[in-house]
Amino acid sequence: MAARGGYRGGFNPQQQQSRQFDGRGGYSQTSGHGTPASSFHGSPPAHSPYNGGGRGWNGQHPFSPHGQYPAQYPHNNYGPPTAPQNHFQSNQGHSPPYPPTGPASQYNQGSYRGGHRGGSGAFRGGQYASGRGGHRGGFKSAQWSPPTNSNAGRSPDPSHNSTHQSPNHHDKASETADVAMRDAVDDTIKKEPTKDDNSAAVTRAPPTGPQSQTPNKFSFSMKIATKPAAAAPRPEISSKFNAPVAPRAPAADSVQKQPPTKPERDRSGFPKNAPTEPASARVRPSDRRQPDQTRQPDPVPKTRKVKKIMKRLKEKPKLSEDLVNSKSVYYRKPGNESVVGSGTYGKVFKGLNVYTKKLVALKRIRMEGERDGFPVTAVREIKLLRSLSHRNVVHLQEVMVEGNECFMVFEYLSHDLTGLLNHPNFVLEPAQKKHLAQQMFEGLDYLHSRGVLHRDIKAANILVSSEGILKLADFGLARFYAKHRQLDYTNRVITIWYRSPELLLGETRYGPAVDIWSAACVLVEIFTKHAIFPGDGSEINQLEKIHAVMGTPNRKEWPNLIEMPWFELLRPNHRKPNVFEAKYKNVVTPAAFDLLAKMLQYDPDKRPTAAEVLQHPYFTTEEPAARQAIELKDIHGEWHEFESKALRREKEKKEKERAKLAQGQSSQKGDARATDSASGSGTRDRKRPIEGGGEREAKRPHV
Amino acid sequence: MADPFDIRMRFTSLIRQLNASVTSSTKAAQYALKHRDHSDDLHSCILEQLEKSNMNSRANIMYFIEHFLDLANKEGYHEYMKMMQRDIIRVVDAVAPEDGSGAANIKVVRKFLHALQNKSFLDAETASQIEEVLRDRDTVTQDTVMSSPPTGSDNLGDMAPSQTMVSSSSHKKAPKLDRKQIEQRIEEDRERHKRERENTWAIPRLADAELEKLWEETSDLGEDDIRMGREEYQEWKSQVGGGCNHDKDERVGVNGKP
Repeated sequence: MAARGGYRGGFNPQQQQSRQFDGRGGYSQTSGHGTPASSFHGSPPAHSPYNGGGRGWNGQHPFSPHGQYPAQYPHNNYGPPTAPQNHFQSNQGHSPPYPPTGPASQYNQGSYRGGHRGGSGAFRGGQYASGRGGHRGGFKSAQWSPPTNSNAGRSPDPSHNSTHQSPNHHDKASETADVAMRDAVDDTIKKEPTKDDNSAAVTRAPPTGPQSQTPNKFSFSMKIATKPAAAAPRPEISSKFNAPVAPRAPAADSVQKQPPTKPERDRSGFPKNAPTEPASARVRPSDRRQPDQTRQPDPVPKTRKVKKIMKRLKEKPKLSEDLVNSKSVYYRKPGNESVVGSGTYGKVFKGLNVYTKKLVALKRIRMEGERDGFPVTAVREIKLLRSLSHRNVVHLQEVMVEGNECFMVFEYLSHDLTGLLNHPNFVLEPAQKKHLAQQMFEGLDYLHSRGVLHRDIKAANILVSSEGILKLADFGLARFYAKHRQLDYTNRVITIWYRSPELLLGETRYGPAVDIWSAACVLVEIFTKHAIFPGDGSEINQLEKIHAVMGTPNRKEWPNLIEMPWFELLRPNHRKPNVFEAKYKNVVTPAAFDLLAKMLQYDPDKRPTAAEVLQHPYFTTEEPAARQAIELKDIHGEWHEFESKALRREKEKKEKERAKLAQGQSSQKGDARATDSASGSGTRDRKRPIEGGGEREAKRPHV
Repeated sequence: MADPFDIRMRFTSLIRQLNASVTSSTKAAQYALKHRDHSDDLHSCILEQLEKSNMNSRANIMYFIEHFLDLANKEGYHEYMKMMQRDIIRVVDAVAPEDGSGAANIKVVRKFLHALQNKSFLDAETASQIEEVLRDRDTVTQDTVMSSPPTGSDNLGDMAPSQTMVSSSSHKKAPKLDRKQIEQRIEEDRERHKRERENTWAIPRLADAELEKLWEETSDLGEDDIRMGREEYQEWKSQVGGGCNHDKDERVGVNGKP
């Protein structure tokens, strides 16, 4: 050890420093030499070897140019330094808050000078002095024991003692020292996070200490050789320190910052050198800065400083209490309050990202009744969504497993088409309707060109943001399809009101035309607010509804009609005329009517593709041109199918009460107005139920 | 050993319980194979049920026959197959009768015959003969099916079942199919379809079968591929590019402020 000490101290100060830094804070490095770091951090094993070396060093110190190192070493060797560290970190509670810092300072001081110490010790106060005295004299035992109490777990104490006793065995000590150093470094790293605020402060002080120490040392020692050497190493050290520091948590930084400054001030009052020693404590970038600034040695350190500053500036975001208490990153209101949708697939919740404050829709994947593990349908949906990216297709942000549940996290949109169309007083203008329709077909065109069949297009699955941006959602039934070959797929898809005739007739070799039919149904709904084919949920009745409007199909218009698997099964008994024109021609504009008629053709091959729909005169030439429904921003609240259903139920209840009240009043006061308003609101409310009706549930295919 | 009567009764009930599920038909098939001593008896039992039951059950029995012959052949017992070949006309007649009451089954019969032919349970000659008969029956319906839209848009909505639409022969069909049966049939067909599709991914054990399949399924390079490439590039850029920016920032932080 002695040999090493000599080398390092005198010859390779820089190297030593660098080593130390690498290990971790400058302190640890110092420890490497004299094991101070280890001692500081409280890693006992390190101490013993170091101490041995340290002794050797001590002798050298006066000689060795590296004021810093040697100084530290000696301290370590003695063991007192270690003790202080322990005290600080572990024993903080025991010793008064200051004492910890005191010890740190002690180290440095001790190391620096032989005589300096006295001065520094004086500074730090009686506490230190006493501590020191104890250390040096027979300190180790005394000091250590206290630390042990606090840090009972630490084994350092014994090691220290041993090291102290066997200072003579420098060689052995040195050998062990390296190992010890590593250990010490590890320990220090671990310890740092655990330290309390006080401890942190202390730790910081030490880092600054070391830097300041070097200068001090120089000044004290006044050794020419050492000065240049020291200067050079400093920058490196500082830089290295900085790097490790960065990882620390911002919160810790803020806490630490304050404490370090204090010690520095104290130091400034005292000899600069004195404060540093706590090197044991972590070297904080911030701490360094101040010393650096005073020195103004190298530009490099300054840059580091900049980094640190930025960290300081960071403020801890403050969260409201419910957010703080949220177990999940996505906070949702308790109970059913956060539910914005539910269906066979499970439930959808509205959530708030606690950190970004952005709203999300959480689709919980149902795991109940899944015998075969994670449902393959959910896997398919996730895979599909991951491959899609379009402004009119809902964006899957991530998939989250939380507790025993799995959520798909989507961007949140305030409305869906059903809720919007059922809004009590917001009415879409024709231009806005056109814009919504256009977006729907753009989304559909994207899906089809990407080889995806949505297979569940319906008003409730179409979301609208508060800026009027439309997005297709719910890909639970979607699948990739072969664009260039006809494969066959299950015909048990699409909510039955929106199911095309070929699917109702059992066709399994279908394509994107099924989505076009559904979209046409939605388009009718956008225009009229009413579903065009509201069946009772059975295939037979659904076909009858279609026949009632579009007439019965025939082979001339649909050559493949009789090829449909269930054609014989479901063929109508009566021939019916097409009354679509009579029913809708006057309800919509001519171009819109033409477009609807084309999309609602029986023969899927004759229906236009989504791309062709977008080129239709309705979108390209007919006035008014599409206009984004930005007015949605002013709509109060959120309008989803789910909410409008719940609201309706509630309103019906209120309405009854109001009607009762009104009746009572009118009978008493003879006020006709009350009854009028009550009945008026009644009719308005009744309209909505018809649309959203309980039948919706039946429409979803039972899978 | 159960007595022949008992065996017959049990098999009959198994046939009656047939539905679209594989288990039900496997169960019946295994029973028939177990009691192959009575194959004559059991065969007649199948025919009997075929002629007695409703349209849906006939379809089910028909699917069962295919499955059953498969199993029998696997076990190296060809007696049933021979009997079925002998009586195939009778089977077809029962499932898709001339009177049109089984019009909805014609497609099923075609599929069935096709499958038998593929498995060489049926020679091509017989198959084509039966196909001709079926086509006759099919055209009966075809001629009468709504071949053109109602003339004009005058009020035909409540027109009584017209002669042009429902022929006298197929006239009887309607009453035989009630709503419940139709719905049951729809569900059973879907179930069968699901089963069928379970095998679509299977690849024959040939050297390059998989390669060939992929080759067949892969379309030519086109607009879609370009689009996908562009999207992947965007994604890559946003992920990797973002990382670079971060690095850049750090570097600026370190070196930018001397």
